[in-house]
Amino acid sequence: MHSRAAIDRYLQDVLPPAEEVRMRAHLAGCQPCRRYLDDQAVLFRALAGDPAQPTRREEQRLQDQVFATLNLAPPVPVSVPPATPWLEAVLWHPLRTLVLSGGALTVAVLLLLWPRPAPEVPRQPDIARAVVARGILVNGGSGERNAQVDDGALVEVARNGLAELKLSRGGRLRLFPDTRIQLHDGGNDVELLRGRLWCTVDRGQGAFTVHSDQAVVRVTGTSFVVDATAEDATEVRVLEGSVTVEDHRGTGTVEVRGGQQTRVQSGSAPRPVNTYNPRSDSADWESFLRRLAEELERGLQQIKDALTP
Amino acid sequence: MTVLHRFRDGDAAAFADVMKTYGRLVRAVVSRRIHGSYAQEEAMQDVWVHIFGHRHAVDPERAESFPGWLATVAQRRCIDLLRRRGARPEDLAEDGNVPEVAVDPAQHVTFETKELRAAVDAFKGRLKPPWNQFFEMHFVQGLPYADVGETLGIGKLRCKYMKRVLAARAQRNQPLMVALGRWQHAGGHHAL
Repeated sequence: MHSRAAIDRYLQDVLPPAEEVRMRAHLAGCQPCRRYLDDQAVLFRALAGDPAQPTRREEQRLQDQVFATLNLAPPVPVSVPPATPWLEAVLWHPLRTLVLSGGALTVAVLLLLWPRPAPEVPRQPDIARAVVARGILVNGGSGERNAQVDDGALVEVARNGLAELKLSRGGRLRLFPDTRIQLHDGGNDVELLRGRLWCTVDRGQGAFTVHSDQAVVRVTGTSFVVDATAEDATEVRVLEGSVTVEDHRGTGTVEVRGGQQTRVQSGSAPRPVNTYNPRSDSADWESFLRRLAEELERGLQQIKDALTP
Repeated sequence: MTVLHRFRDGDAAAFADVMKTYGRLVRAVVSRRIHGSYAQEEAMQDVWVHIFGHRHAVDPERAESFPGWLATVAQRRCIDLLRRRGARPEDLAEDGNVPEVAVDPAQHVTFETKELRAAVDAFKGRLKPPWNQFFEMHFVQGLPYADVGETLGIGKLRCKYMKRVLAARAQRNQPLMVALGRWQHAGGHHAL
């Protein structure tokens, strides 16, 4: 099943085009998700005032999709702000020509004489870089090693893939096979849509949050794994430091320290913590890395064999 | 030049005006035959693309007949869609058309009652002022996070958090769920 949070976002927010296309493709073939979407749509419509009428976001999405299908440019509302009285007074003053031309001449002289700094090209800052990339997609496109990840990016790892992202804020995200995440807020907020994620977060860089369907994990610096591979539960396992885990309904909060774990079931508060062997996740990661290295080695050997006369 | 003239000439802004003005009419026709918001949205897209493709059939001098033309085109397109999806023979009327699906009276009554409005008002009434403002701007007015955040002086992350909390609270709200007819379906599972 698709992430319920993703369906809520589809209904209420503006998704990146690639994610919207994927969502629609998934909905077309997934009845439980369609049923959830239908229920949520009625709820959001009711909250907006009328359960029988679409919300503004739904209307906008319909128009966007129809216009995109027809290759029509979406109409841009043109609004000209009315002139303010003082501006009108200046513009219609009898001495306006003299005042305006004098001002324009002064500005032109100043612009000519003023030293010019080198022009800056505005650029969306990258919030992470892939240091391990095998079978990954970034925003629907193939991601290589050193691929840059920008704010709002969707990163997906295939069933036989593996990825490690170095965060610009400080820290690393290790994405296990069959994992999907979306990064927000300069890499301070990660949405775990599917799979297993190992986060190592630098201290002193502010709060860092991981959301899943069931849980919210907040930390300021530590190493932990959020595992959402189960259908209706999220496990949080801490290797070092401590994290706070809360369910989305806010019915309970537990603090999980190094060597401990908890589980959040859909609709329930986090379970009390119990002990956990941190070696299990790091051993898993190492085995995936080893498999990746073996595959690379096999590939190199094949190339070598092909080149040997 | 009227909107209908410009629409027939393929003007995008005029088409957007038509979609806005007659959106309710087309939706009403679609929702009589196709159920579920996802299926309706798919059908609405198809219907509007079809309408734009057949805009040359519109006579701009006969504006009074335009709504009727839209309703007929929408209805026929829905029938085509249902046939393409393999509507069962017994679903088709003798003339080969798909008969209009009767709206479930119970559901209709549930949505039309004042109970739902009262439940939403009560839900809003219990929210603290900042949450109430967020609710009004994001859920009612449909403003995106950027606009809501700028007005309320909060970040996108906070907006996301408030939206999640409010949506979860709404789903746990018994009077609201009863008014939406979901409480009985869920066997009371929405209760806390």
